[in-house]
Amino acid sequence: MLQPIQPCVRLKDAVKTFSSGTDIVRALDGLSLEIYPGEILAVTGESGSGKSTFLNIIGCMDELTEGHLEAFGRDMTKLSGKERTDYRRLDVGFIFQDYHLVPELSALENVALIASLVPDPLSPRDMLRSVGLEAESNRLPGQLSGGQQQKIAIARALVKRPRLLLADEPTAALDLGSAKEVLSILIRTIRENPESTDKKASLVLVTHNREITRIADRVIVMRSGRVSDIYLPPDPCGAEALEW
Amino acid sequence: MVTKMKTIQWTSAFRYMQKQKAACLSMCVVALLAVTAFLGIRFTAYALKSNGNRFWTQTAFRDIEIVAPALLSEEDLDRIRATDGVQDAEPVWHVSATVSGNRNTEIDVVSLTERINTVILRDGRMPESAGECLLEPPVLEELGLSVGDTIRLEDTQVLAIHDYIVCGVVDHADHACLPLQVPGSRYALVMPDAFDMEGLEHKCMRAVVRISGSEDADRFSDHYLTLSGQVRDRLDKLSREAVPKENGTLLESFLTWFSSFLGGTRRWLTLDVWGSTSYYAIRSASENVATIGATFAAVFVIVGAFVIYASIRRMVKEDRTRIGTAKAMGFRGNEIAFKYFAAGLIPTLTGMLVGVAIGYSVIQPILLSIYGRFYVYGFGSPVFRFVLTAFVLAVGSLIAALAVLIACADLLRQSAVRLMNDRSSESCVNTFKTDPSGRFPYFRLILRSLRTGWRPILVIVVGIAGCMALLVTGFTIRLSVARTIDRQFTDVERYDLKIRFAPDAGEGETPTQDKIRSALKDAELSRQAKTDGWIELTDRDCLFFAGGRMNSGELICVDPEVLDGYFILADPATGEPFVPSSETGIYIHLRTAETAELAPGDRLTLYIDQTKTKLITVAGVFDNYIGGQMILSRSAFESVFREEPDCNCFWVRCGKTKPEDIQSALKGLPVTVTRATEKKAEYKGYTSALDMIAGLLAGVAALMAAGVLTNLIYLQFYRKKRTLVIMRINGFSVAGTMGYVLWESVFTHAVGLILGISGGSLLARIIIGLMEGRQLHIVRSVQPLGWLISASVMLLFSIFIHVVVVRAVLRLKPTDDVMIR
Repeated sequence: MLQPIQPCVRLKDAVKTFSSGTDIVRALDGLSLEIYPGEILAVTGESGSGKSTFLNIIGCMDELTEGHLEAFGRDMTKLSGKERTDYRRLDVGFIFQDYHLVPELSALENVALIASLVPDPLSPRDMLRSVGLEAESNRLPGQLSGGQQQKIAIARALVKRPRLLLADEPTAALDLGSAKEVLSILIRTIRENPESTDKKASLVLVTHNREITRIADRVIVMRSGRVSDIYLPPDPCGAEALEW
Repeated sequence: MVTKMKTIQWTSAFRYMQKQKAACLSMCVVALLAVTAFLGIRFTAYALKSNGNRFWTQTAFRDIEIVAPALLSEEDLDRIRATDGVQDAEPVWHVSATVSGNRNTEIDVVSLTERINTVILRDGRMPESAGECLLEPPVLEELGLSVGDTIRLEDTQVLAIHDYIVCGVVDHADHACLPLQVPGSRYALVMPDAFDMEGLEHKCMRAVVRISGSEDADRFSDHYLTLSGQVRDRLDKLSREAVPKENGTLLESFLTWFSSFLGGTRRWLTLDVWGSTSYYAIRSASENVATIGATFAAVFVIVGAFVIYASIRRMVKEDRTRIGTAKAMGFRGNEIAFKYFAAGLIPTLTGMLVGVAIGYSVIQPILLSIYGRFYVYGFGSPVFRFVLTAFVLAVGSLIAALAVLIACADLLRQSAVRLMNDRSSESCVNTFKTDPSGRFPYFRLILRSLRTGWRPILVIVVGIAGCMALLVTGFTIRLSVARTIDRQFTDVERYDLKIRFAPDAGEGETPTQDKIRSALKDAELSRQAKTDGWIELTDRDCLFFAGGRMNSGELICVDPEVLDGYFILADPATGEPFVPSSETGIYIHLRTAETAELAPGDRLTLYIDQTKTKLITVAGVFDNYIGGQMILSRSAFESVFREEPDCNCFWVRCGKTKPEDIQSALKGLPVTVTRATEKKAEYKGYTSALDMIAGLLAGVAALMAAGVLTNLIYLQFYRKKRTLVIMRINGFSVAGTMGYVLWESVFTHAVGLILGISGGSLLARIIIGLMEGRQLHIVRSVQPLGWLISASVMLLFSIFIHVVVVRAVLRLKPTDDVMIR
């Protein structure tokens, strides 16, 4: 009998508030959600719906005001600062809209820098090759295009074999062609992961572009800090078929 | 994997430092200057003492000197040798004499010793007979003599021989300092047989003593001073234990014993190293140098720490987003901070190491060559202190590390989200209306900027204030020292010539005093006239015991009424001149009162020549700048010493007559004539070393100011760069954007300069207070000229740097990338 797949990340009744002068802003307002190993989860919604806050919470970049977060069997709400850093170090890979590469290190060195954080990383050079940028290994970020920089950022995130890949608007600054290439790499990474099911990496992709949600296994729509809708993409496709 | 991590982190750190090379260079230069100044000066202070010690070890300098007005017998010497702690004692014969010749020179004739207080032969050979003598170089120079010449010594019937052949040139243990530093008679050294032993009953005037355990002693150490002090006290006690006279009556013996029981009579004076003016001069020089260096260094450290803090703070703020990214990636705080610690510590350490080298090999030799003019051994040898150097490097590194920690700690503590999303509050332009005309519409913007950016503004103000304080301190010290000498000869000593002679000198029936009067009258001068005349007085060296130690002084005995116009006694509190009126008391100068803790009504023991010792009351205190003058009226002298003081000095105000004409008129007389201008030059010589050190430090401060201002103004500009670009995008004119930058500069400079003037004046006052000696009172008032010069230097650098910044502002384009990457 098949065992049901357990979620790798579970968020329950999550509340996150920010103070703005005398007002309190509830960026997350009782959000509950589960993320499963090996899935591509797209999170969409209007500006200010709490998408990025949600990403920051499950990546332990920020702490919940109320609620409960469990990741990979651990209660994340009770961790110390060091334990949270270790979680990000070993289990999470971030991909940002603005790439955030180290400008004075080459492409290869940027990937190697993150590889140095974990005991058993993938080969930085192999990672660059997998994103098609082995030839640009020695170039500095300032010498590369936006799409190339984002690919390096992906390689950097993946080199440490994260179990949770968090991408915040990874294609927002890219043209259509580059965006498709980037999304293809992300999809390939998740789909072709040879790990066993419960150890497969998951991708949480935050985007305001509804077209991009077509690559996901599930789509979460957020509104006012809550999940307003969850659905399966009606017209799923690969990255190469996307058009916007 | 660990090695790879470290390598990649080091690579990242070094590449980052290359990118921030201006800031790193600034930190390096500040550290270099601070360590150069501090260690260079500190090494010099050690070297001055070390070279003095070496000279005294070479010459077996006496630890104790015994001066006996009533002469010392062999029995006395035996008792001295038998005293606990005394290793050896040798007798010394000594008399003051005059060298007959073209210019009569006072000289001390001293017998050669064998083991203690010996000489270093510079030229010629040691005497082989009683008719030969050795001379110290200043005597040779003054008399224009050389080895092989003959001199005639006129004395008070103590010498058996009066004509000597100069057989050699020597340095003597008593005179480590040249007359430029320690004026006074120098020695002609003769064999003991040159003295009339029969007439002296084989008794000697002095004894030089070595104490046990002092062979290679550091004579400046507390241990040595304690040791010698204990032996000094024993010998002093011995001097008060009277020896009953041979064949004396019972009553005489009882009275002698009773007198010593009361502690009132000493058979001899016991002087430790503090009784040596050369020792005091070298020690003062070393301590003054160390004081100035340490005080400047403290400010250098503060300024340096601020520069490091400001530089790292700017770097960290620029890297907000990158730090947040690193945190998101899983880097720990210490791993992120590593780059900034490297950027702060490596340039600092590099600068410090170079500073050690420059301090040792450049600053120290410069200072030693300045001071070398004062010592018989000249430049001496430089020193290096490993422990001190290691300590300085460790402390400097610690301060740099603390500055870096404070600069980046709060940012590193912030969450990754906040770092990546929060923007500087600088960009408040959108809340104001733009005014493309470039007039001054952004007063509120400037105020807001001052309020929100108060931390970096405070850093800039403190940096400017620190550099300004250093400049003001250096220039204040220089100007104060220069004014001190000028004031001595305008406010205090007003005579033009000082004529000294031996009271009983003069051939034939006409005393020298009459001959001098006659010559002065021929020069149309009148006795006791205030502007073109002379006064007659007694001027002699003396010793006095006060403040727990023996001090030297210059006793002036004169009728108070005639002093006006020649030597002005002013009340230190009010500055008003007064005429001394006491019939029994002595007037001392301000520094003597302060250092010996004497006030009117207190008593001190005065020793004149080797025969007169009396307890005397302090009648008053007068303000003086340089010198150890003590004023006693003739009647007071008579009252205390029961005899009239012998006139041996004329002070002359030349009026319309030229001083050189009077000198010519006195040629051929057994007198020594000193012009006020020569004395002034002599004083300038004393203070020239301090003057040059203050100038050197002011120069270093100016260099530091250039480096600090570059860093701070760049910091100031960088804070505003984003705002400036947005202002340009929104239509502000070039003049408008420049004004926004420059008004804050005006504010920070104004506040910084004012604080710097205050701080610098205070610092200078502290240093001056520490520099003043027993016979040196430096002008303590503020020096507005120093403020002006310092402010001019700062503004000159600042204007130059602002020109560069303004050019950068002019080059800003609306398309400039405002995002921090």
